[in-house]
Amino acid sequence: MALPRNAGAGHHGGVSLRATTLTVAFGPKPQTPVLQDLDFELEPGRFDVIVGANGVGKSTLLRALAGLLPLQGGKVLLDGKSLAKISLPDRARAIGFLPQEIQPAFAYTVEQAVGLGARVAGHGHWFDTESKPKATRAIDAALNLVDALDLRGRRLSELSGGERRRVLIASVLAQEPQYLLLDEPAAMLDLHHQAELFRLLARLASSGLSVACVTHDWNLAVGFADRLTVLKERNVLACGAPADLMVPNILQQVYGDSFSLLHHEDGRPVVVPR
Amino acid sequence: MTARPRFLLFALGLFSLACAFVAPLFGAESIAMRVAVQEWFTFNPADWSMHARILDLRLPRVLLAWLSGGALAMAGATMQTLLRNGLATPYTLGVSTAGTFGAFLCLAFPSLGGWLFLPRFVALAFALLATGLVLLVARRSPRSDGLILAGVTLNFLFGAALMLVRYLADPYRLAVLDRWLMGSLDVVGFQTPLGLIPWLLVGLFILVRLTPALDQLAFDTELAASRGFDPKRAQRNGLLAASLLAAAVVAHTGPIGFIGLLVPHALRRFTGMRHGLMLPACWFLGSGFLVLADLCARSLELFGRHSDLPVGILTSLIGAPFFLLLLLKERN
Repeated sequence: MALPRNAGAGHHGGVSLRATTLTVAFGPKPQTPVLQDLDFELEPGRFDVIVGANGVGKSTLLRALAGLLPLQGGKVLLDGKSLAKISLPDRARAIGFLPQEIQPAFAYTVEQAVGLGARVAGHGHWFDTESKPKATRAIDAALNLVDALDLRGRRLSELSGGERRRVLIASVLAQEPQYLLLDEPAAMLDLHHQAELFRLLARLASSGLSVACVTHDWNLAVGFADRLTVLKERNVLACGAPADLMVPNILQQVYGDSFSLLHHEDGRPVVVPR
Repeated sequence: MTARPRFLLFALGLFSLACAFVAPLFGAESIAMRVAVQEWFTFNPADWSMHARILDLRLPRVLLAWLSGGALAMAGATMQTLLRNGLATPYTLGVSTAGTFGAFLCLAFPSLGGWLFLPRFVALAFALLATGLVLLVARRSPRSDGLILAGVTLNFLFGAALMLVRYLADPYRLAVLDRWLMGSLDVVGFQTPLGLIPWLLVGLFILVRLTPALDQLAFDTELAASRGFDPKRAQRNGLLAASLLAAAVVAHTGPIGFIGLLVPHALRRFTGMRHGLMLPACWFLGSGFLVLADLCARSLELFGRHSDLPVGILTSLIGAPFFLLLLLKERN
């Protein structure tokens, strides 16, 4: 199995994607900040999950880390270098970002969709990416990472929700990024596919990638993530091992009284809505 | 698999060039081909026979058709990608109506023409002005569909202005105006087609550099942004380039419909959304198609006489049923 290029810690000193005193604001002036003075760090080999109430800025944090937003304050540093000073192609080869919803206006095959990612990694051709041997190998490798090699010739539009999600992740993996940022990848998936997807993300992380995803599902986070970050009121409320953070005190600060905390027979905490 | 895209481009290129080289030899008058070609290549009009003279009349017209067809098809493909809408045409943003308004001004009030130069320059100026306005409004609008709404609105605005010009114009000049509206490749001399080329080159240059961005944008805007392609910039430059192609053609020929819609639709299933392949393919098919349509237009006999039909009528008459067929086939 081909591992993404540059995967693994220690490739060059201080490998990380780090936000320091990050402030992001939207809307008409005077803008109200969505995130303020927030510090956050991603490391290779770790699966990070970000949770929080609706509108608390989870997606905003992810998009800021991907370099997609203008910052009102603070910096995003990739391996110690400001993201703003890194060329767009270099940024795209280091950081892969999958938006929550992708709706192509035209028809694509799985191969073409993944090929678009492979082109970012330089396996391109001006009109014939998918049949170049190097690109073919890159596409196969990315599909293989998400166990979707058998979908290669299918149309994107005829895939199920779970298959489609895996293919889109493969498309981002084909960029061969060190950092994989996903915005609610498990939304719209059934229970089985949610677990499958998080297992896949954990596996990618353990192979050396840095994976960060936003979700509403604490239970999935507890089951698979290495680190949980809880956002509240424009900043980080708590950050640490998922099981340690899934306690009434923290949950209450996020959701008020609208939850019940139970315990699974294997000892894991489980949160359900009340 | 490896050969397919290359083969497709090669075949379409061959078709396009074959149309361009063969079409001048046919038409309402039959000419002795060998004589005509041999004489024409002496480049000495004084010695030409009838055959060479007729050939010489047809050549600029075929060249204009070839350039216009290719440019319109390519502009259509670009518009559809950038507006993420398969129904967009090179004229969607009001380019054609604005250009027509400009041309009408000159044609309806010839006294203006004296200092306003030629209808085609005024048409081009207004078409580009409309594009600029649409982009300006869209940039300040927070809506994602601001572009298409602004385009549709300008289309109405210039449509009304057009009617005003018609209303105020001398009734005797209405025939000229109507004729312009039908789209025609009926030109004398090489000035018109050669005058079109610089505009097209600028548009093509921008589009060629933009193809990687178009590929990513067609898939998803935000994903494209994360992959290092600035969607706003690409959209602005792409629309400017496509509008420039369309505006230049409209200014030189009047509005010729359907090529920009039909050709990309017919090709997309073969090329996929790879613009490096799709755009040249569109050029080749569009140019060949318009050359053939124009050949029909100038050869067709209606009611026992040569009709010299405006080609804009013919492209829509051929294009619309064909497009409907395409839609039906897509279902299956």
